[in-house]
Amino acid sequence: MSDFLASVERRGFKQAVFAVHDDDSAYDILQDAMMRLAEKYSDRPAAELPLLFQRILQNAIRDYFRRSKVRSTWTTLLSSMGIGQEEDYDPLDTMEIDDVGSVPTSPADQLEQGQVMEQIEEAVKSLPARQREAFMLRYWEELDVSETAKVMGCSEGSVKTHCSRATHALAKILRSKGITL
Amino acid sequence: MARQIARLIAAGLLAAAASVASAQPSEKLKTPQTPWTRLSPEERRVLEPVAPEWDRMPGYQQERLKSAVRRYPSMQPIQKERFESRIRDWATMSPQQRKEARETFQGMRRLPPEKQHELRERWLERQSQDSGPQPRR
Amino acid sequence: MNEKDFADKLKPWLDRSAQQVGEMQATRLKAARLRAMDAWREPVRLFGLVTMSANTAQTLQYSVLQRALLFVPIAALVVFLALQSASETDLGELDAQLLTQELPPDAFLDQDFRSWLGKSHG
Repeated sequence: MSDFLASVERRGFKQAVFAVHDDDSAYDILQDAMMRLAEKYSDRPAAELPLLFQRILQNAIRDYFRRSKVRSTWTTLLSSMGIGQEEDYDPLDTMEIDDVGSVPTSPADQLEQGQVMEQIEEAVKSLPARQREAFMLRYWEELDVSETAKVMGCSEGSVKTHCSRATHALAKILRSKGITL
Repeated sequence: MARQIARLIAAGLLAAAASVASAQPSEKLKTPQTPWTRLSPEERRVLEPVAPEWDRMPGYQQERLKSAVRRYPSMQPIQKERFESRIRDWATMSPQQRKEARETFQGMRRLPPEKQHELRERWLERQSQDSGPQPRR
Repeated sequence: MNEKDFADKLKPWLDRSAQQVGEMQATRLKAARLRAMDAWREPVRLFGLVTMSANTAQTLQYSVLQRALLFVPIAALVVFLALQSASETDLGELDAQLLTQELPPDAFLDQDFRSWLGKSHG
């Protein structure tokens, strides 16, 4: 259990930071998720832990939004109700992104790595909650579509939609900042 | 503020609870001894540093060490290293010293992480001053 | 570039961002893990639970007294469970944790260290 937690704590923490934009809250969320896992599922085989942990963590993040009055709440609600998706592209469409040819081929040419990292983190933070959740689970935690759907409590189709939108939004933002991966 | 007060009260009650709990005879009087030769090869390997004393140790201490050794496979490399280098000193402390060390350790863990961090840094800092520029243990 | 390719390229960046959490955060994360591990198997396990309840309680709009009262049943449960499990709990776990964390055991017998600890609690 301890090894498992050690192996996921940083990513879990970052996921929470991306979601709630605040280190302290993210830390509390992670602590909460770890406690719940350790208390309730200590008897589960190690192979089940990653999925359980993700489920608990994502629930903890959603609980946080439910409880708090932060501005993201409505975004979470809207996107989980499947409306307001047009919102996703609003800030992006206003950006000049067509000039792909002038984008430097290596990120290091243009920006310090730290700055690239910062831009990536900002881009991830700016995603609507459900899209970010889907993207993180599917591509960072490397769950498959059906596992992601289970964790998110939605259909596999929704997972694909969220992932696809998240990917396009991220690609767009990054390109607009002059970052190619 | 309210949260701090609530925590304080909780901490007080818990301290009471903990002291009641520790007053329990956790180290039972007549735990049977395990001769060195009856240990598994893995146990003997990890407990090698305390081999000379093993057969003279009371049963409860042996059990406790064996139980700690069961965690060994799941330790991180740095933890294994620490465990190996410290187990001998640990075993040669008096029961009272071990008890006090555990209490202090648990007391430290009840602090918020930042304070734990401060405390560790402070102690390590002072050690490095006391003993000159040596690597941290 | 399709979705998967893009994600594959982004992943190392995210991994690196997770690896690069500051020393302070790393310490906090480790402390969080240790607390969770307390909940996993030890007699002091309910400490973590109470900490959690304190957080939960904070979000409710209760008076100080009400919040304090909230802990009474929990504390009673702590006493009960601690008494019940003290004899059978695997104490080796605590020793293993003590022996494998950053500070050497000597630190916990050091008078200065103990007095600093006392002040930190105060």
